Amino acid sequence: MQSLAQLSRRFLKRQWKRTILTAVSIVMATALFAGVGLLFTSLIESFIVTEAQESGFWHYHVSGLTLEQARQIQANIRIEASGLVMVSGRFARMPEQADDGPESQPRWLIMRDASSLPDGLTPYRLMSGRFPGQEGELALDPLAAALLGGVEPGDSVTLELEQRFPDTSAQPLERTFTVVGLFAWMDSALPADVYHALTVVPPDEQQAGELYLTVRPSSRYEDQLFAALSDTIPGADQPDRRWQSKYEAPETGRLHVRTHEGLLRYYVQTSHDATNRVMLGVFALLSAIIMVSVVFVIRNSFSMSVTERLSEFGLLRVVGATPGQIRRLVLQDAWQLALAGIPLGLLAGLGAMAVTIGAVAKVDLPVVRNMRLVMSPAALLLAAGMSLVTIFLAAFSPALRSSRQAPVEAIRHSGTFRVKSSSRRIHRGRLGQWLLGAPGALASRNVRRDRRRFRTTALSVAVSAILFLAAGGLSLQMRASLAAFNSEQTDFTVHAARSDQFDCAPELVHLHETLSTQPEVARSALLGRFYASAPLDPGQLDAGWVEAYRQQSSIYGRELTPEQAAADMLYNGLLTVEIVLADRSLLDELGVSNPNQAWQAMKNGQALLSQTGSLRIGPVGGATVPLTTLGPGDAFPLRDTTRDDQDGHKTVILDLPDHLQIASEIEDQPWFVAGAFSGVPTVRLIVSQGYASRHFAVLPSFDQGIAWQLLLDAQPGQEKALQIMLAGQLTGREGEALSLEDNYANLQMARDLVFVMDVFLYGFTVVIILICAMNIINIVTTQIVLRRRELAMLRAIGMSGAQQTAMLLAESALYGLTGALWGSAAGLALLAALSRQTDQLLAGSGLRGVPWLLVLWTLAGALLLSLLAGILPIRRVRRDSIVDAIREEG
Amino acid sequence: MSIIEIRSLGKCYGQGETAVHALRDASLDVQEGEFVAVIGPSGSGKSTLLHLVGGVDRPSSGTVTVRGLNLAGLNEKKLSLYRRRQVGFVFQFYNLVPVLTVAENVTLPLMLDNLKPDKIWLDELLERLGLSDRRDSLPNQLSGGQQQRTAIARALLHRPAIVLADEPTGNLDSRNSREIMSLLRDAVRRLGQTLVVITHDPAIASQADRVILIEDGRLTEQTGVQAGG
Repeated sequence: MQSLAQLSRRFLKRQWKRTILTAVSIVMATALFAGVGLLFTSLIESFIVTEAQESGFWHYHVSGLTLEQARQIQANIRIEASGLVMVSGRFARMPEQADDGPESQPRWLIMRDASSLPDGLTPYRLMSGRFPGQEGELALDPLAAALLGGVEPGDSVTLELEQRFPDTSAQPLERTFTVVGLFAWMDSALPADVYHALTVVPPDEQQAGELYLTVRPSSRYEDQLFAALSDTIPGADQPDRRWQSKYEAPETGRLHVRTHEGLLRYYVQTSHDATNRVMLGVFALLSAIIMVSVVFVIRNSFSMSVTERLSEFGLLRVVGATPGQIRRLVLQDAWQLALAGIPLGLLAGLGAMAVTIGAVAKVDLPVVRNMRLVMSPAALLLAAGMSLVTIFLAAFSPALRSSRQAPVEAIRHSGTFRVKSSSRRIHRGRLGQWLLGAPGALASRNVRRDRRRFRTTALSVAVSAILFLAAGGLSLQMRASLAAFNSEQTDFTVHAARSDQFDCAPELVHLHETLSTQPEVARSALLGRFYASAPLDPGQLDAGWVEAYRQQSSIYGRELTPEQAAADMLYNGLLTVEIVLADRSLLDELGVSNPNQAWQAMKNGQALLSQTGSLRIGPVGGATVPLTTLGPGDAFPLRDTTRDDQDGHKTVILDLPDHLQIASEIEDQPWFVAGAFSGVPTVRLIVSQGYASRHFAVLPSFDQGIAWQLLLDAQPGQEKALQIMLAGQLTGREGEALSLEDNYANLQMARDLVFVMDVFLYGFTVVIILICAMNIINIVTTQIVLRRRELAMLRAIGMSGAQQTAMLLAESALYGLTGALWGSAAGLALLAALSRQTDQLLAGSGLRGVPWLLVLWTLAGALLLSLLAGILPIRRVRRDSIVDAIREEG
Repeated sequence: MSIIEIRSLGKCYGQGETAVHALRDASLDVQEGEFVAVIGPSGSGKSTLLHLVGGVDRPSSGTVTVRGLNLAGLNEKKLSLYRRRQVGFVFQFYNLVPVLTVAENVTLPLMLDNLKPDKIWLDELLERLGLSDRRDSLPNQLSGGQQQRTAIARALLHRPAIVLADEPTGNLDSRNSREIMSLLRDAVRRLGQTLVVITHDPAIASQADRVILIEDGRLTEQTGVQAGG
């Protein structure tokens, strides 16, 4: 074996260029395996940290324990860490509310003492102030604080405490507390009528215990927990008891176990492990892609190495080597390369992920906020194991071939590629001939000498093309989706509370007046909006829209006549009518051609009509059509909105005219309305707010209300400035019920998310492409170098240097183009499938047609890559002396 | 009239102490239509002489003039054209292109010139060489003799002025050797081509108009007219 290893080392040294190329492929593949594994573990870890920050790092919450039981469980060997929350037997009765009926149940404030709970385990998040440190101090959840009259830290509150358990006839007692803080209990799952307070409970009132705990890792955490519980509470681990403990509603004095689902799902310890399943699926898919790509590359490399050494193997067979020894010799090469490549690959993967995760963590995104590189030994071991399997899978078939070679055949072998005798069909290469003459014809035949190698090489280019197209297409799709939402959303929207008034809240008017003149504001609109019903006739629906609906129905197997389709659309409430209340300034923002004339008509009760909608037809494609046949001069019918009373009468809660005369129609959708992609088809009737307040009527029971909004778009590049300005304007005005919808921040976050996804998508793709590039370089180099004598002969019989270069470059290009064409076809199919999957997720962004530019990039990239791969060996062959090459006997 | 004029030809591989003089001060005239055999021990410089005449190698000193064309003055492209149009090579190891059929291998020099072969001549040549029924076969489907006959057809099809054969029968049995040489000799005689053959076989040498012996890179006339000096 020692001699085999030496022989292998010498050969690898002799063929150092190929050895380096193969080793680099192994290093990159291992780095990818390690990178994907580390990314997976780092993401899981970041989710765990985020979850722990939100709701504490505990596995289970056990309540309904006596203090004695709780302390015994804490000391159990199976419990890793625990914290005890003591519950007072006295609950505070909360004040009754105005809408409480005589039979309403009392609301209770449960008093807990969490002062001994370690920080890491606490599920309580401080919102303001601090946690209680002594008796008489109180921290409240915000709902309780609101119910107690909006108390804040520093206020005093007097509570009536009733003995709830053990249930005795003890008299209620009044106690005054100082509120020291407000807290959120992220993981609360108790009934809505129960409120929570933290305090320091006097020892004589401590009646029950709740434990937040983590168990020592095992295959099933739950078994660990119930085993620990049953040590203290006999029978707690019995199946029926466990079921009751886990799922029955919590009740004081009864054992209740709550699982920290949000945390334990990352340890695959709950049934809700969809995240892990998805991530494991992605991990498996990526690993499979890496494995397939790398097996191609390394197999080709070993296969060529075997071809070159066939006569050497023959000689070894002649002197007595067994087929098994020859096979082991090739596998020895694989082992030597693995020994060198895998450790380097692991280091490279670690380094690359450290840099990538470091860069990504700087992006302010919740999903990556807590992302740190986790040096997971399991991930690294798995990566090393997968690399090893990949290398031996790749080396196995060449090793088998080497051992099957008959000694005599091997000695005779001239060292050049031969056309297999089985390939009787002769490829004519007419296209190559037509394009480049004899060199072209020769090139197209040369690449097909060994069809299997041709397929393998083209496939490795195809894998690159598929990944590039899929990654690029997805990225384009995400960007298109963002652009679509960006174009249909204003940067900022300030909402007033929904009202039953046709007049806008004065504070919003004031804000509009203040901001509309600011240089940072590109355009602003103040409007009110509400939905109304329209008794339209089926014949009034636009024929194009009806046709679109028919096509859509036909895809789902429903064949409708136009009349049926129109009736169906109205029956299904497909058409939404929105009334927009406007003032004169809005007309300028709308770009109406003659705003004064339009405003005059609107003051007299007429409306502007906007009714274009972008419709989705089938899985791909769409159309922009008007929605109705109504236009200027027509009367748009409206219907009052009513509500059924208990006695069966209908009460009108929104009183509208029977119709609105259409003064004029706006061709494009107003810039301030959302919905071109994400909304339902909507007809908008823009009316004068003054006219509406005089002639429309609305009752307070019109529960939809009128939504008053100030919509703002910033000047390009001024979004941040306007964001700060708005924050300044709205601070301290919460009481006026103005709320800000910051679409700019949302979009920024979405852009950052796309950036992060791009980093990983393209990073992965680039490394795979590099691995495939190694393959092409390897193949092309070997194909050329092994044919030195043949190439010299061609020169000897008169092929010029330029003709030879053209032939060899054409060979390289054929590998690239064939692979890119296969890859583009498969990549587009994959992209279409992915697009269909993500269509619901990324509304309005479904793949519209073929991304030709991306396909062109793919083809051009593959062509360039393959031509570059050919340059070095061609130069080498061009430098060769014809005489020396002809003299070689292989 | 001399078709090939070799004057003071020398070829040295390597430099300094490791320099090997494959050919020293060789001079030779070959007449048009002449059949010259070159014999000599291994490593004596026979192939070097052939390569220099064929324009696949450049001399260290001296000149090779073919039909008044000094090969030393030709650039790489012109040398390619010279090889393609004036010379037909036959190698010991056949050196056929494995992906081309017999007919395509034969027409390769013309294909490189984007010329169409003379079909009648091609058919006749293949017929005479006994390859008519193998014209669509690939080289690996042929015997050694058939492969060498294909190589000869390739060397003759474009009617080059000079046919250079480097041990054309070195890989063949004696029956095939006789047959190949007979075909080669008849063909060049018929076309009035000049044939230079390197051989170890005295039987082949005996058929030549002249035999040139090379020893240690020096030429010695064996038979017929005196070697140029």
